[in-house]
Amino acid sequence: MFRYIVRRLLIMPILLIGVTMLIFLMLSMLTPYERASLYVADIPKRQGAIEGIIEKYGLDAPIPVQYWNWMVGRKDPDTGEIVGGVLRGDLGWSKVGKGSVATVIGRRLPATAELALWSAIPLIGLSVWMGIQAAVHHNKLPDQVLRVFAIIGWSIPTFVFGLLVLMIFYARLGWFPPERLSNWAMRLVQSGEFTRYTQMNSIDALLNLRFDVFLDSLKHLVLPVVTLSVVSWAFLLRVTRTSMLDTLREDYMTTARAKGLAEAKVIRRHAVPNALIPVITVGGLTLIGLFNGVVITETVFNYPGMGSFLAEAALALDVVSVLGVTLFSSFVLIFGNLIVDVLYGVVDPRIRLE
Amino acid sequence: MALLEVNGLKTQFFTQDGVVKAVDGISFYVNEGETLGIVGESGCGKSVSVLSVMRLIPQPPGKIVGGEVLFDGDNLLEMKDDEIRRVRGNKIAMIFQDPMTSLNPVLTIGRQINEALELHMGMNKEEASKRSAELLEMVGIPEAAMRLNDYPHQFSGGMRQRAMIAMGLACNPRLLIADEPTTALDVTIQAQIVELVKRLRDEIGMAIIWITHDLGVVAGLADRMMVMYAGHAVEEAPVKEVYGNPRHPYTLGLLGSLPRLDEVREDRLTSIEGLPPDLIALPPGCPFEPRCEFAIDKCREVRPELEPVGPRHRIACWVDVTQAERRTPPAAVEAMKAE
Amino acid sequence: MKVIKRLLTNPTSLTGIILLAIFIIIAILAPQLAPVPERSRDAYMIPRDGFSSTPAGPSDEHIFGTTEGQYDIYYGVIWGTRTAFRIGVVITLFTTMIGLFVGAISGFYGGWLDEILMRITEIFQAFPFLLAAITLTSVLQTIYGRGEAGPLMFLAKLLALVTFGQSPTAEIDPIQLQILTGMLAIIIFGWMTYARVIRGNILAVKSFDYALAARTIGARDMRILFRHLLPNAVFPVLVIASMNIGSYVLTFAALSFLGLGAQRGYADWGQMISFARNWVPSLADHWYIVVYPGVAIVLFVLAWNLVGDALRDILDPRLTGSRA
Repeated sequence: MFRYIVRRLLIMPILLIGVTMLIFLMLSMLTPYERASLYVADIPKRQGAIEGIIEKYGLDAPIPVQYWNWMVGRKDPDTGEIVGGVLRGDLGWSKVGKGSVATVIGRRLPATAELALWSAIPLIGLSVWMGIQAAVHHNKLPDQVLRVFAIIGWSIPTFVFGLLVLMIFYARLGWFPPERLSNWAMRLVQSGEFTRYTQMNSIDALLNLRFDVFLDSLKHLVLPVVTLSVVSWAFLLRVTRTSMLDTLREDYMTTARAKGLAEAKVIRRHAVPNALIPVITVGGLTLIGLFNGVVITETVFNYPGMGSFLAEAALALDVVSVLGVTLFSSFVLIFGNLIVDVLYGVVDPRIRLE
Repeated sequence: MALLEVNGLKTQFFTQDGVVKAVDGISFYVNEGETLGIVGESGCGKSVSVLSVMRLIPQPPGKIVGGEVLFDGDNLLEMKDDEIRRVRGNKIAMIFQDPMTSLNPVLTIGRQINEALELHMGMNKEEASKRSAELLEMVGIPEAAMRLNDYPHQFSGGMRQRAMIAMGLACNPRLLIADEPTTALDVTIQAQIVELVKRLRDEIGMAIIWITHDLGVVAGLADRMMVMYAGHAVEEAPVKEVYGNPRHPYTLGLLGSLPRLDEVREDRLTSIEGLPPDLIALPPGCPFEPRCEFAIDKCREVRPELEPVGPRHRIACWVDVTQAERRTPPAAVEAMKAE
Repeated sequence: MKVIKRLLTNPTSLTGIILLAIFIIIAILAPQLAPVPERSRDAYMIPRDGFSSTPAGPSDEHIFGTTEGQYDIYYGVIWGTRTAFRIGVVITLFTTMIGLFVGAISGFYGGWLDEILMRITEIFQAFPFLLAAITLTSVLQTIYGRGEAGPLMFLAKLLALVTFGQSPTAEIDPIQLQILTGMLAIIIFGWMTYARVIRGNILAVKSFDYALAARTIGARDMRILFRHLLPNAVFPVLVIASMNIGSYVLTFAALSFLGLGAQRGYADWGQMISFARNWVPSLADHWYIVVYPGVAIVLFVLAWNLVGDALRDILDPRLTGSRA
């Protein structure tokens, strides 16, 4: 397992650098003027001033030099300070967010994290359990029904589902409103009485022992969580089902039965652990893949997270913001993948004990 | 009374292409402490027969559609679920062909052996582990106690099979069914395993059903043997009888194709012309008829049953091969006509 | 071929095929089903009946209703079928070709070439797909919006040629340009799965004895590649491709929904649904904006998924059953 992890750790820097290079490649396709907001917040409109900025920040230097500057920062010739640098956490200035990209991400991240966190429960719990049931009752009614649901879920665009669900449960029934909190809860949360530990409303509400706020935040989370998970739920169900079906066909299942074990035990103890091993990888990736879903979900539900920020920025062609968010997300994805890989190596004894 | 008595067992598989008659009415028996060898080519129904005995046929697509299986007087086919489970792994144990795929890769060997002990002998974890270690020692695995915590992939092929045997013998079964346990192994390891089994048999005194397509192994291990073809039993007799006085055309063909060290051979090894029949579309008569050198018209129309031709020697054939002439098998005749 | 027969007898794939057939017919008959108004600049721009900003429900004149700005939904759904096919098929074509190319070279030649190509593939895969598509689309739109785009113009023109049949010498129509940027973005981030699968299959097949046997007889590399290795690699790609067409259309619809794909008023299902964004509180009254185009998307994607799913089950060697 040691070798397995080391190999993955060695590849990571290559991936990380490669991602930054690809992002920078896209960045470099913009004109120096368009890129000026990497370094300055207020881009003056006067012609001469723009040239000054371009020169000042080396935005017309050769590409490799620019890449270096962009990554590690550049000395401002006037002030002598070091400005910029992705590695220093500076992703440029966001037109749309009216702040540094990093700050905006920091501000919007908790909302997205909260959404993703709550989505993980129905996603992983339900879909895996259902996938196992479908496989165990292969080709019988539960299996047919679940397969139909899964394939439809897999075919619905997230935004259509979100809008439909909003239409029924909000516009018509008024049960679950969009956004994060009702007005009264919002005012309370922002007042001095309430400490925002994590910026995630539901968790903070629990930590503040305010169950009314907790319930209110959950009420607002129901629809987005369901919408976000639907497609991934369908996918994970199918993957689990397939893995379980494969496992049930293995020889060691017959051996287990030949020992006289009851069927339920045979499935629980022999089939499920084996079937879940590939599911861990896919499940982890699916969770990480929620990044894609949040963009649409947050937009539909007017949910102020990173996803809706990306959508706003893209629409406004605020490329610096867009690239910043994508860079950040890719890094998270890469680290997430590493964690999933390590988990896989730990869980499968064939890899763990190499 | 025989320990195990199978009468008219019929097992079928219902597939998209039709009903496969994997086992079509076989009967055999095994006495206490006796070793029965079952031989036949791939697909002849050997595995399906013994899986049927243990009621391990996956239902769908399979189904045991007829016959009875008497173990110690009780019909296993009529038992309820929990009753048959008390027999499996306990009174009748089974070991399989490929120990790599037959052992669960994510559970330790110790855990897999303990399972049977905890279930049937009511042992707790410590007692079971102790016994498992003894069992592993018994089958010749060194440092048994430590190896209990290892996973199957950490064992070599031969050792895995030994572990399987240990698992099978855990609850002192009266009958051990071995489904081609040495086929997937190296020849030298094969010999070791056979020796091991012989020794254990002598020590414990269990009955064995040993399935193989290797005639050499049967000769060295079994007391009696049954030859199967296309889901039917075609010859059944003590081993020496079969080798010395084979009476079924198929057996003749099998033995004729066996290279022997004690004979000087001048002609080529004979092989049996043709291919085994499609188990979905079995002919009404003897399934071997198209490839048989002794076939007469009756063979095509009426299916022969096992009948005695000597003391404890039964065959399913209309012809007396000791007296009949050899002819070209019907299939070969067809082939020639087609040209 | 046995595969085709099995496709037709399997109920799931049959449903999918029938659905697809219906869509194809609608696409072909679009001009008849929803006639293009006389003074329309582009058949794909949905005609407007006035400029009122309140959507109107289904009526005799507009059987599916109209959106904000009075775009006829029925027209959009019908012509949107053509858009969906175009986009899905073209994207699949290019992604498969790129993936095949990269994967074949990587798998066949191996060595450092393989290592480099695989690292590049992994880097592209490190981006969440939709995010990458959105990112590249916004970048491309900025570039093309400027007017001069240099070498990238070539890509756009190539795409325009294949998708719209537009001559490479002509200027790209701005209406179509936005669509092309979305497609290009999806293509550039959509080929990796094919590359990996092809490479995997070629590696597996390379070690098979029959390729070795062919080599022993002296067959040249290219010949081996085409005669022996590629056919084995092609089937899985077919399966993935058929399942992916749906996902490309979904992704493009998402782009349109966000305002990045097809522009306002274009006959694209995702684009039409984006009109609903302004009307969320009264969505129950304006349900038709979401439901009609939404059902169209779902059925279209479902059809491809059903066919792809069934294809996969049919071509899976384990499920075709080995009689032991």
